[in-house]
Amino acid sequence: MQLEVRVFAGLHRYIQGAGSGQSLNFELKEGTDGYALLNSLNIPLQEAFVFMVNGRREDLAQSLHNGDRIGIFPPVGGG
Amino acid sequence: MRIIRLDMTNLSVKTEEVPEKYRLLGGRALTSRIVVDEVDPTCNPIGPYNKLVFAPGLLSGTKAPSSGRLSVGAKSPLTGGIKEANAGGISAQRLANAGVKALVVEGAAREKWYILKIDGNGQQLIEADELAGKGTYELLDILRGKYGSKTAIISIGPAGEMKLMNAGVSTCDQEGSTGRYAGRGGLGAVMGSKGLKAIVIDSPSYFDAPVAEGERFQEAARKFSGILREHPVCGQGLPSFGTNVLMNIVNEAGALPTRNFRLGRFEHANAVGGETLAEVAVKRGGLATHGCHPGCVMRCSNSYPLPDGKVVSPIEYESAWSLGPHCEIKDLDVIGKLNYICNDVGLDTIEAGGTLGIAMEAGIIPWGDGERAVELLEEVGKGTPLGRIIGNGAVFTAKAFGVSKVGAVKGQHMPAYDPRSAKGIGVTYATSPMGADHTAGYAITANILKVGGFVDPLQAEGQVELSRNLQIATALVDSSGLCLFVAFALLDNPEGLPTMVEMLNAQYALSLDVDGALEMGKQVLREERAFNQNAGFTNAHDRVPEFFKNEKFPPHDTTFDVSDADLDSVFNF
Repeated sequence: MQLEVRVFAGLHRYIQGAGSGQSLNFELKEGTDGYALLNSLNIPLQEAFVFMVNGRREDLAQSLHNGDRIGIFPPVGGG
Repeated sequence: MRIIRLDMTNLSVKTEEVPEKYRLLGGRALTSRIVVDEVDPTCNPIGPYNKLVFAPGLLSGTKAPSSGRLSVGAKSPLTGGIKEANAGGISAQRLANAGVKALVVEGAAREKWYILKIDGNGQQLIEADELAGKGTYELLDILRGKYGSKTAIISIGPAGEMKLMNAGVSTCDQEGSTGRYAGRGGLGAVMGSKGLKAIVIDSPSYFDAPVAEGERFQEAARKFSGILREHPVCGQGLPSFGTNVLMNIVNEAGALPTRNFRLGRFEHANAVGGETLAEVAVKRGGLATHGCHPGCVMRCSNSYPLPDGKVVSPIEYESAWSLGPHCEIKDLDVIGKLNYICNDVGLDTIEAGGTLGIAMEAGIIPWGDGERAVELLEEVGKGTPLGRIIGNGAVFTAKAFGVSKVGAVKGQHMPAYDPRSAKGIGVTYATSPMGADHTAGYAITANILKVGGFVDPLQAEGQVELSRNLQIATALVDSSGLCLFVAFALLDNPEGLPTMVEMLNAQYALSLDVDGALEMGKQVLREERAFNQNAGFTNAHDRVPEFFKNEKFPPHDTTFDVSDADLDSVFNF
């Protein structure tokens, strides 16, 4: 399956050649979960504070599906 | 500590002792109480019977970390209800260290403009006609040049002088930059209506306001500082990229209002977000992180050099949104320029950007046209008829041009989250006595940021309770003088609130518990709401505009469906 992944607020440093907030496409096995995705991106678990799938916050244990839009964030805040 | 009473009708300045009933109030609790006690809710907000009240928070001017908030209160020209707008910068610390508990400005303007000079010895009203018409950047250069580069300056720009409903009150940071605004609700127009152009505050210290039990206080303050540093958002998130880091996460969540609340995502969000801002700012010799006042742990401000050599500090998320995605403007330099104009002319950025979006909706300028947006906003400072319309805010402009789609509650434009895909903040927009104000009960915490639990932003369930609890806690934090951003840690760390209360207990020799302190928050809300009711507000004013209930919002295709009965239960406490 194809995943559309964006990482923010400094997390791009773990992915060679990636830019902050840039849309990255990854090919992974259907049904792979968030843990496996983080592992393949070399992003430490504790850095992925908010994990969004298609605009909704999800558990990392959730299975992912073809075409999902993923956003990964360290702790962020403001207002 | 003393209360200064400045009567602009008689040009008299008096000092009063702090009455016992105000001794344990500060910040928002004090400004709102004085407004409730002394201002007729039916008065004209820019007439002689309104009063403008300034008060440092209870902890301001001490070594409590991040405690430099200044509250400004009055009846709002924009909403017609009570208003408390608070700001960072150094004014609250300077006032508290000059021994000032509150400043009450009353009466009506005479022919001339004045400034008020305050220091530890007293206060003096000075004629200042030569300052009329000055933008705040030049004004601060002049005043800090004359009175000292360490003075705090509270001021208004031309918008306040013209008594426009979107005029804010400027305060300054240590560097003398004017971008620290008690922006919302048109309080700059109230200051202008009194003929007061600026307040200059000189005091020798930032941290030496009186504390009853010094050692106990110091221990609690040290512990509180640790709690802030340990929290992932306060200690790590905010100091790295500032508030505009929210642009991307709110965009990902599909809650970023784009093109006047039509779309929940903006294609160019990343180009105007905090990560890009930090990178460009540093490349140009600016600052990705900066404290708005000494003693802040979070340092969420920034300093952004513009291509023309001017520097705008800060560009906040809310401003970047209103002047950016809301108008489909995708150039951070244009956003910075618009923000600079707001600071200089003396406008609230949220309302100003909201209004530019209405101007685009009306076809006065094209969507996304930054150059025309700059030209239009510059009209405000020139005082042209069109500029005065824009300077009166979004609802006024919508009426002037026959636009029905305006995202405002109680006359005040919404900030940077759509109530259909972050429904908790929608409850706050609808019900806060302040009008549509995100800071009044910042439900984005549990809705999106994974702070203080989780309440699904797309469902109606749980939002009323979330907003109610946040509005109560916020009224307390706004009274303490602590920056609202400490709330991220208060919500997650069970020791947060007790430690905050311990600082209050040590400073004022009290034995409050957390419930007792939260009661102050409840009392503030009850009083503000009662003022609004006496000004003519009913439950019908606690609603979001109808298009939020009827038009689906992509990408989640949700509407705002928290029931009216549920909204009417927010203040059941």
